[in-house]
Order: sequence, then C-alpha cells, then structure tokens
Amino acid sequence: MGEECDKVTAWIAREIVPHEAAVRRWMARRWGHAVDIEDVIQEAYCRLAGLASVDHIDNPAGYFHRTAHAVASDLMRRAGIINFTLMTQIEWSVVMDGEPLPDRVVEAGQELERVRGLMSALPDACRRVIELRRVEGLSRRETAERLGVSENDVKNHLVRGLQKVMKTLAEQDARMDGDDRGGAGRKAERIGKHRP
Amino acid sequence: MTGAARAGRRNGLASTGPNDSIEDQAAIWAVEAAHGDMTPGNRADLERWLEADRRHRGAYVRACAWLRAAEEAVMDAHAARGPVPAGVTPGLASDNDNDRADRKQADGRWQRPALLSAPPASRFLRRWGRRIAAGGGALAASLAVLMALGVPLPSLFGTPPAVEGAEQVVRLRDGSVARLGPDARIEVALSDGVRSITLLNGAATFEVARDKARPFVVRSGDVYAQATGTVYSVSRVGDTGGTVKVMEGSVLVWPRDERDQAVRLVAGGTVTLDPGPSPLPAAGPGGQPGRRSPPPDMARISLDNVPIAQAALRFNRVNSTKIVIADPAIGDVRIIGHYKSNDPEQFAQAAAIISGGYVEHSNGEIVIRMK
Repeated sequence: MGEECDKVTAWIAREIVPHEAAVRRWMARRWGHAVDIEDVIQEAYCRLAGLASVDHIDNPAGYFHRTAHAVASDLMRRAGIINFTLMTQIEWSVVMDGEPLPDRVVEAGQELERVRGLMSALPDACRRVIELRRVEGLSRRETAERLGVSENDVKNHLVRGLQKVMKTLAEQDARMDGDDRGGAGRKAERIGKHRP
Repeated sequence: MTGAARAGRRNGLASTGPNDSIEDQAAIWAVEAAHGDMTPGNRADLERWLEADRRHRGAYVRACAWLRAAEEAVMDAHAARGPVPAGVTPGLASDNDNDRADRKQADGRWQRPALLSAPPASRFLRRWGRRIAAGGGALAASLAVLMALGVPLPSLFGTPPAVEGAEQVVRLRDGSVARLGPDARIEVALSDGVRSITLLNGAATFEVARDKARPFVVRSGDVYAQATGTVYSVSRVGDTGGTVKVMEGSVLVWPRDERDQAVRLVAGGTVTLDPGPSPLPAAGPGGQPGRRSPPPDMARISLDNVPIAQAALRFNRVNSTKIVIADPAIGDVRIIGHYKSNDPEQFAQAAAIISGGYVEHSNGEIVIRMK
C-alpha cells in the first residue's frame, strides 16, 4: 500500500470512523440477524479503501450508509437467502426514510459521552506510546527506552489498545441494540436517545 | 503459522493464532505496518494474509483507520493542553442576504417581540477559533472533526469544560456553528440549494456562515427561521412551535406554509410562534385516506378555500411579476391548494381553470380574464 492508499486511509480515519457506531446501530435495526454485521462493516471498509479518489464524496456518512446497505444486500443474495418479503421490507424502508441523509446529527451529552467513552477505553500505556511516538516524535527504540520496556512491548501496548478501542465500540452497540429493537419505520439516521 | 500469528508471536502477544478473530489479527497487522519493521518478508506475509480472505482486507483497512483516528485524537488532546493564544472570535458577516419581505406588524396571534441582550460569546469558540483558523493540515482537520462531534476538547480528559452549562459546539460542513443547549438535538441536511436544519429538541444558537446560494433554514416544530450571515437562537415550544431570538443581523420567521407572511426579526428581537396542530388533510382523488401529507417546504403558499383575489395579493407580495385579476367574478371564486410561492404563473393557470377564465400576459404582468 502506498501514497494513494495513505490518502484514502486518512479520509477514512477522519470522515468514516466517527460514523461506524451509527452505521452498526442502523444495520442492527434494519437488518437484524439477517446478516453478520461484522462481515458487512469489514466489506464496507474494503470497498471504501478501493476508491480511486474520495474528492467527489460530499457526504461521507451517507456514502458509508449506502455502501453498508449495498454490501448487506449483496451478502444476502450471495448467501442464497431468498426471502422476498424480507428484502422488500428492507428495501422499502430505505425508500420510506427518504433522502438526503443528514450530514450530522448531534445530541448534546450523548455524543460527548460516546467520544469520552472511546478515549477512556484507550489504555494509558497505549496513549503514552502514541504521545511519545507521534507527539514527541521519538523512534521505536527511544520510545522503548523511555518507557523501560522492549520494542515488542511498545507494539503490544498499541495492539492491545487498538483492539480494546474497537471492541468497546462494538460492545457499546450490542448493549444499545438490546433496547432498540422494533424501530421499524423510525428514521435510522438520527443519532441520539430515542424518547419513549 | 499465519503471518499474523508470526507477527503476534514476535511481539510476544500471548493470545495470537489462527483462532484469533479477524479483527484481532487486523489490529496486529495495522500496528505492525505503522510501527513495525516492514521488511520485504513482512510485507509478503501481510500481502498473503490480505489475499487469503476479502474480510481480512476490510478488517485491515478498518484497523488502520481506527489506529490513525486514535493517534490523531491523542495528538489533538495534547495540543489542547498546550498554551492558548489570545482569544479571537472567528468573524462572521453580520449583514444578510434575505429576500425582501414585507414587514408585518405583530397581530393578536403572535406575542410582541421583547428586547434581549445578546448572550456572551462562547469562551470555547474564542479559545479555539484562532487555532482552527491558523492551524494547517491534519491538526485543524482533526479538531474540526472533534468539534463536529460536539466534544469540547479540554473535557476529553477530565478537565472541566471552559464553557458554562452543558453547551456543546458543533461546526457544520458549511462553516456555520451550532451551539447546543442541554438536551438539544438537531438534524443537519446540507444540499445544493438549501441548508436545512431541524431542531428536534431543546434549544440551539446558530452562527450562520454566508452562502448566497443556499439559505440557512432552521425548523422548530412547524416554525421556520431563515437567515444568512446572522446569529440567532431557536428553541422548541411544545410540539409545533418555536421561539426565535436574534443576536446579529436579521431573520425571517414564519409558520408552516405561510412564508409569504414572514416576520423579519432584527437583532435584539424575539418572537414565539405556535401554529398549533395542522388540520388533517382530506383524502384526495385516488389518494390513500389517513396518509400524512408530506412536510411543507418553505417556498409554498397554502390556500384554504380563499377567494382568488385574496390569494393573488399573497403572490404579489413576494413576486416581482404581478397577477392582475381583470374581472371581479374571477376574484370571488374560491380556491384550495398548495402552490409554489415563487411561481405565480402556475397559480394563475390553476385559478383560470377553476374560475372559467384564461391567462394572458401584458406589460410584464399576468392577467386573468373571464372567457
């Protein structure tokens, strides 16, 4: 992977990652157990990474939603799940929700909680490594020396931190899904508490 | 042994192996690629892993993105704790680009505007405004993303936020800024012709970036408030109403379908409107009874069994091309319907059909005559 990949990865980190949680919730509500959400998310990221250029994309969140929807449809078809009624309902509910998808929906407090939760899920050791490597610009060896660990440990801190952050996000959504079943017809693009 | 397992084993990670979830393996590879020794051998291992299953590639992209996002967040937070330059509030034009609209005296339906002092400018925005304006590249962009997520940066790590109350600042894609009060929820849809914000709950203040091509419209229940290059706040009132307060510039406010009768509020002004529940639509020919009518857009005139003459006056108030009713018999005929407020021709044609007249054009005017 080279320069091009790096540019697109930067765009994905900045414009797509913040919406992953919302897309997961949307998928859980819309598709339920018909598809493996992890598979869909991974394939969606794969397709995004395959884009030659992202300059034309005005609404990254919307693009992410549509990509995930296309992936889910493809997966279902490929798996031979021929359930015409289910597919029709799902397609129809997308149409009913209308367009354009909101660029950004924010609820005071909830979004703050989510990002704060994410950052607090980042273990201290991992955060420290990132500070030394990226903020102070130390080399791998200098970082290891500063922390008094091996270079392998430096990488381990990062791996564990990254794994924890990504899992925390998925778990959060699984917990929320428990409360959110039965949201047919509700505008799924809205992020935030659902009032009873 | 898979490449990821090898990499993991090298790193001394206890739990690596082919039984690891794809996500975990991808995390190992993402860190290896960003922080490890990517020798040709390692690269070949990575490629082999990526080729083995398409899901690996997707997971790898995701892991790289999350790693990058986490790193940028840490860097931004570090910058957030750094020295703060003397505060500069980002300047926004306070003149506005509204269409001309008739000034309407408040009548019994609406409360009289009250004088208000402008709220203090957000210390948060003053603190970071210059940093965002002056900063280049990744830092500014990341700050923008975090701001867009509505996170006051200093509070990410436990230090109390600089602003009082639970105010949250969101920068919209067009450069406008929304400040949300506690319990506020907004929905933002920016398209080519309009910037449309729906206030779902609570109250928010908007600093509107100038964009002549795209009016900025905030909807609260059934109350609309349009401006460009101004600062104003909108709060929900009940199910259908809203309170609009203007701090800078001026704002057009109207309920539901009555944009032609909008009130222009200026700085220091407040108005509260509550149009109440909308009347139930009758089932149209071939229409489904009980189907909710689509939400009114801001450029419609709604005629509820009014004489054509009265309707024509409403069109003439907002269009430079005037409608002239040549025969009183036409003016007396009542008409029902929703019409685009900026299309007097469409209305005139409909009125002609209903009243048994016809349309002709003279002197740049639209004239409706009896046959």
